[in-house]
Amino acid sequence: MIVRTPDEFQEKQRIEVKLKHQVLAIDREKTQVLVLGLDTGNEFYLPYNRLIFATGARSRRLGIPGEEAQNIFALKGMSDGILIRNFIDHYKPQKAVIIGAGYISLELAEALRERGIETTILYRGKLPYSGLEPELGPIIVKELEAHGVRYIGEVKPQSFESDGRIASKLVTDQGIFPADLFFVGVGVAPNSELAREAGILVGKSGGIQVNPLMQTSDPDIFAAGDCCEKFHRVTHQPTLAPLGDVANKEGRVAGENAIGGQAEFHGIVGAACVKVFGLEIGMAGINEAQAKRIGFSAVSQVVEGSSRVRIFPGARPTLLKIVADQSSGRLLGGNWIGWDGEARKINMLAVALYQGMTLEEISHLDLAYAPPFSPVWDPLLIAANLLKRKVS
Amino acid sequence: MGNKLNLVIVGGSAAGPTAASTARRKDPDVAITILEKGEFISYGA
Repeated sequence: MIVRTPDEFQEKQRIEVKLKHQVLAIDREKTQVLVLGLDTGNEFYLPYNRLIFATGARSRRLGIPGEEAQNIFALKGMSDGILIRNFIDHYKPQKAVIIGAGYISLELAEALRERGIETTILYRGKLPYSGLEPELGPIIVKELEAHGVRYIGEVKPQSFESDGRIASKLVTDQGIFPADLFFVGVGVAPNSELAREAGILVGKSGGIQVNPLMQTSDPDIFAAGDCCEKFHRVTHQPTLAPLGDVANKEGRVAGENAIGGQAEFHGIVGAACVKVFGLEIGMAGINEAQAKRIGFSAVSQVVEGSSRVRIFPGARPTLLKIVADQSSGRLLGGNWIGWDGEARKINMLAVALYQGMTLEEISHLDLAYAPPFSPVWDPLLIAANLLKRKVS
Repeated sequence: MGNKLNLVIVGGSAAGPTAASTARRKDPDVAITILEKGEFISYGA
């Protein structure tokens, strides 16, 4: 979706937009950037007083032979989407293989099925969507299969067989998968090379390091969006979170501070949601395995209940898992899955995590209740009450 | 915040255009340029 055009930026806001212009280098001593006009081939210097990196992230590749074929697509930007749509319209592919099972891959599977394309998801892990609690995996697989998507876990892609232009098969350690359309959805990596080459500090995550003002290690240079690290309010560590809503908030802070403001971005809690056919998946904070890895004495609680008062029309099964720190009783994260508003219900956890609330505090929350919307004991209240007993 | 500055923004997907618009709202005088290597700006994908 295009929000605004370059002309609108110029006419309404006097913001000059130069499309097809690539920045080759930043000269911090002379405070200028070296720019290449991709259409003209001309290089020129542009002076700056303040600079903002909003260079985003790029799709990771598998790095296996044959990956450069024309019918193997990444899923990142608008131009990928247009390429894919044109390919599908032109070649009418019958069979697609998606490598990867993150949210982009899951959403893509749904879009391909809507076009009647036979779709297989192959994933290196056992269950889809790394970072989700394992309890959710079988529910997602069942939903995929119910809508005609084949899911195969623990697959290691080895090579594509192609005539140089068009790939026809993916060779893996679990067999050969023929298809006429392939997608590689194995995550993104921050575009931080320009910053690194200019001597700006880049974190272990690969993202540009920033302070709460979105300032890099050079106080005249800011960064925002997928290219930079974010402060995680649960782990108190820098992390990556390539999401558009976060990018917009950071962009606002960077823009204000670049012209002398003092705005702050206070970090993320890792809230996200995805729709997989009828299924809604919400997540916030960190999962139990991550919590243990970081060193929390994590305890967890699964609640399987009903999305509404059980006898009310539209009531569906719902599953919530929450994780807390045993010593402080503080909520660390949760996943919520079902067919009835879970992607929005997760925001209760996002707020609780943002505020650093304990299970005790959560168990006393006065939540809105009416039979068409929730059971009289909201699953979050049930989970908090049960898990409270396991904390010291 | 009325000082005449050159603000250069590298990247025009989500964070870049938002930063540009915020800077303009807060400062009518700053010169703002967005450099985007692709052929689209301000999109959600």
